[in-house]
Amino acid sequence: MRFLATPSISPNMRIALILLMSAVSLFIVSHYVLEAMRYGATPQQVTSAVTGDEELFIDPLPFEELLLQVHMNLFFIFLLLGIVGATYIRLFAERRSTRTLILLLGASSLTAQPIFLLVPVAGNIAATLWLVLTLVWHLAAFAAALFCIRALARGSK
Amino acid sequence: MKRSALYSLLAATLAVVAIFTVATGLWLYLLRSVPTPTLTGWLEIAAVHLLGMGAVGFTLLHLLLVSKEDGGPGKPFRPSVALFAVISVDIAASLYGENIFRTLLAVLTFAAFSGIATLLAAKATGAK
Repeated sequence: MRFLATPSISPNMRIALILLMSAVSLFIVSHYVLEAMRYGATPQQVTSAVTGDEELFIDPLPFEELLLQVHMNLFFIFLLLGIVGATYIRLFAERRSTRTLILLLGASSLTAQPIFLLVPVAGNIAATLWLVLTLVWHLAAFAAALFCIRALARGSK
Repeated sequence: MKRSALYSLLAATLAVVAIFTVATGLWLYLLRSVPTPTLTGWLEIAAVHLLGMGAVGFTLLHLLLVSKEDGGPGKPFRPSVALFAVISVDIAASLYGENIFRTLLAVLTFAAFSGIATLLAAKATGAK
């Protein structure tokens, strides 16, 4: 992460960052698809997957499994926020929207995790909120990664 | 907004995420504690956590250094060296800790040192 402190980004570092941001973009898409496949894309599907559904022969998920998912997601969010956030700030520090984007990504991703733990208690309300927040933080991170790739590819920064 | 202020904001957000990660990890450990952990079981956990804690510790301390001295690598590398030494020793202790209390102690110190790193980052953020 030495590029954070250097005044200009060398061509080799630029390529490395483009590759890193591409991998991050793929991670974001695959993570979202995986979550949608595992828990569903609608509030009803999420609630059924977490609390179980006798008619559909779906067993409820144990709380430990939900907590493990949250623990892993927090780690992914940490890395994602660190990599995308640091690169975005390095490239677009002068933009007014940078602060908003970092805050939006951090707040939505962090809030989504405890809300996911509330799905067994609050049902569809928590599931809806979790789905919205999950979509928001994935979109925010994906947009930030794409902006970084575009700026690095153009060589404008 | 100044770049150093944005890095401080990022460091603060990461510190909060790190606190939640450590807290959920500890909660999970307390829920899942088994009386006789096998070496394979602990290796499965330790291998992932060596990478995870290394990444979390490195990122926090790196951002701490960047937010302290914008534009230079800075000199206080001692905390990061100490953190990595503690993490390594701690993981080694928990690997061979057949006694659950020794393992719990290892995990608790693990969490404590992560917390110290987090607090250092948060303190640097607050000072800006």
